[in-house]
Amino acid sequence: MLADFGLLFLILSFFFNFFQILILLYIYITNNFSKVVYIIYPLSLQLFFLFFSIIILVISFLSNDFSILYVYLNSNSSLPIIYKICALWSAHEGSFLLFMFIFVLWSLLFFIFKSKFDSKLVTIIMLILNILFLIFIVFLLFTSNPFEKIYGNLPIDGMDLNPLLQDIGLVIHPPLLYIGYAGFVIPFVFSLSVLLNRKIILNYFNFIYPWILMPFVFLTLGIVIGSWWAYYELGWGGWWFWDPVENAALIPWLSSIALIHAFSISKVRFGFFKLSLILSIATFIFCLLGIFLVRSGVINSVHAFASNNRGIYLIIILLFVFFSSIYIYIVNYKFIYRKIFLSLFSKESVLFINIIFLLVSIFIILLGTYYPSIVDLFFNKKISVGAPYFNFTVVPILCIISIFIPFGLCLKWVKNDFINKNIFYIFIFSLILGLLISYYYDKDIIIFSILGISAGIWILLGCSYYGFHKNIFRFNIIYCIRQLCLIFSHMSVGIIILGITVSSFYSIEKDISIKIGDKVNILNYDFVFNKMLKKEGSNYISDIAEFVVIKNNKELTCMYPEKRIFYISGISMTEVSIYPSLFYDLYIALGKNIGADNWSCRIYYKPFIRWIWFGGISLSLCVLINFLCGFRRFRS
Amino acid sequence: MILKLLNKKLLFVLFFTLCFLFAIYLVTYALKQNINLFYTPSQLCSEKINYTKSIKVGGFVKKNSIRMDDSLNVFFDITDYKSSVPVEYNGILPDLFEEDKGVVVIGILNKNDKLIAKQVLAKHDENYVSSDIISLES
Repeated sequence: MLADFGLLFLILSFFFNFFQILILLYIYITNNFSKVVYIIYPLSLQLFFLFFSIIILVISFLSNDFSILYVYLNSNSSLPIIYKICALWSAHEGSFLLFMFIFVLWSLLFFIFKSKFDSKLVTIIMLILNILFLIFIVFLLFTSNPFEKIYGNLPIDGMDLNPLLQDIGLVIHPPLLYIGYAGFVIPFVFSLSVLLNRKIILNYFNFIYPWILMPFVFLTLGIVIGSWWAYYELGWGGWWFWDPVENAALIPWLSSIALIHAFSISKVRFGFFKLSLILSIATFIFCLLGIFLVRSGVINSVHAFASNNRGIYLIIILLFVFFSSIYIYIVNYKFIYRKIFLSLFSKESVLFINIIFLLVSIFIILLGTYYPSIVDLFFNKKISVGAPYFNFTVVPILCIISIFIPFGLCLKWVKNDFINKNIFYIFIFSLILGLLISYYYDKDIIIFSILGISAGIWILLGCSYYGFHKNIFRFNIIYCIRQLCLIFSHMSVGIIILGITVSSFYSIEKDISIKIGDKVNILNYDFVFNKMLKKEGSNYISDIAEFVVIKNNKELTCMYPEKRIFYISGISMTEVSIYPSLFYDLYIALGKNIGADNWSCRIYYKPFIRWIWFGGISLSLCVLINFLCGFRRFRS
Repeated sequence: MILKLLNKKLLFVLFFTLCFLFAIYLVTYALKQNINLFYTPSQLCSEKINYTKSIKVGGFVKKNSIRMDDSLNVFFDITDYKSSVPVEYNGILPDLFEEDKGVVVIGILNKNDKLIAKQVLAKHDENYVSSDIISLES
């Protein structure tokens, strides 16, 4: 019964979407663009009905309505309430529904804050948004209906949520990513409509700029939280696995960084329009690639949902969006060209160089991620590309990019007569410091570690040099805050690079089998295996080990790694125990019981790993504050 | 003036071609080093295998073939129900590693046709079967 209402609301939302397309076409044909304001009513109705259908799905999860296939597959009556709600986005159908809801939410927000665009452009933008939505909702209704019912014998209980997903990470990671992915539709449709309109007004880039900062904030947070989740949930101490889905999120992230910088050139120098437009198109296409291809089972990955049949539809949608936007670009790009003066020693050329390098790294990651499936498709040969490929190719390029970052900050727009010599001293100083630090950790010389540490320090020092050199208190408080955000967001990249380099080169890992009462030593930490405990959760039973950590003969902490066995699926799961601190993490993952009191377990010492997430979060916070400061000006 | 403009353009073009060539070189080199070919146990038995390169083998863990010792050495057979290959691994197995369940092993084949595993991956989900293994079943 409930399921029928859910489906009804979905169809109603589809109806209002179709209605809007008709109205917008009418407006467009009759040239009566001022009427576009009335679109707000069907648009909000469309959003409301989508919202209701989501609410109904959530209610079905909460009331254990196992007559709905989606609920049956992803829930169980003993599942904790919070996971019942989040099970909504734990598989393909529900997460696609959520994606569409966020998509419409972004469209509505854009429509409300559109004030500075002329109404013809707004008409085209809304038209494209609605056509995109039409494609998505047709796909949802016909190939992945979340309200599909089970006929015949109703199951007594559900199949349970995948134990890997039963974690706080599931609550926040997917929605953040979806908000980010869906948000990039705004710059995308903006570019297409500017191209279709064949007219560019210089202020456009100022107005659209906040709409690329916001999705970037969410995408960054989503990726950072996902990597933190992988770190403590998957239980083998890594934070990035170069898994196809991780790459699928990394590609739009890199491309959105390129996009932000291209837009900042465009809005100051009134040039590079083609670059900005093509990047905003590319970013959204990459987002679609990320959501569609990978999560639909076309590509084999940890994140893939277990189904294969809708892959072909997704590829068709993707190709359609791709080729139609490329077509629009090729037909119209000549009309938006504007020639500007470009000097080699200027901010814009340094930004441009870094954008090119970002594009190169995107290309490399794309190749590594999709090459195996292309080979499989055409040559029917199964291969996989390992993590060393990505490390070996992406890391050097990121080092080159990081060399340019402080230069990009310090140089002025348009033209610079000379470059301050101090910045070169700082460059050499950070190289030496990097060498010394890597020597302090390990007497062997590892070229990548020296490069990474130097790059991190160089960004930190170079950006702070810019901060001291430039009088940031020149104008009002808003200017000052925005300058600080600018500096700190670039410094966060340095922090991330430091964290990545040190933690990946100087971590210590020990796989051991240990008896109760035994002791293991890593550096100056002694891990004493004290005893085993038992605990029962609502849908699992767990063995807990107690480790006492002793540092220099003083007790530092107790750690409790767990092994859970879930009743319904019978799957066992490792819950690691982490002792976090600013400069290092201690990490224990409990293995299996081998022999009477003998357990296998894995112990890590991971220096600087926290800096990766700290840098990521501070990066997104800085961009967020920058957005909020700009928002007032943008509205008035 | 024209010469100057030409020079600048030339510099840009040269710079980008150099970068591009460098990137292509890195990419092809790295790809060549890091492609793992995928084999099934029957293919391993019938085909000629390079004994120095790392390969990926997918199949199921053979029943009653798992042996462990105190120092975390694990021995098991990986099978596609036609032929099977012995595997040796040192370390902690993934949570979902079980008899008769799907598994993917990355490692190097030694001279006695024993697979020395660097990494053992198990399927991640009750319903989820790696597409490598699906193609194996069909």
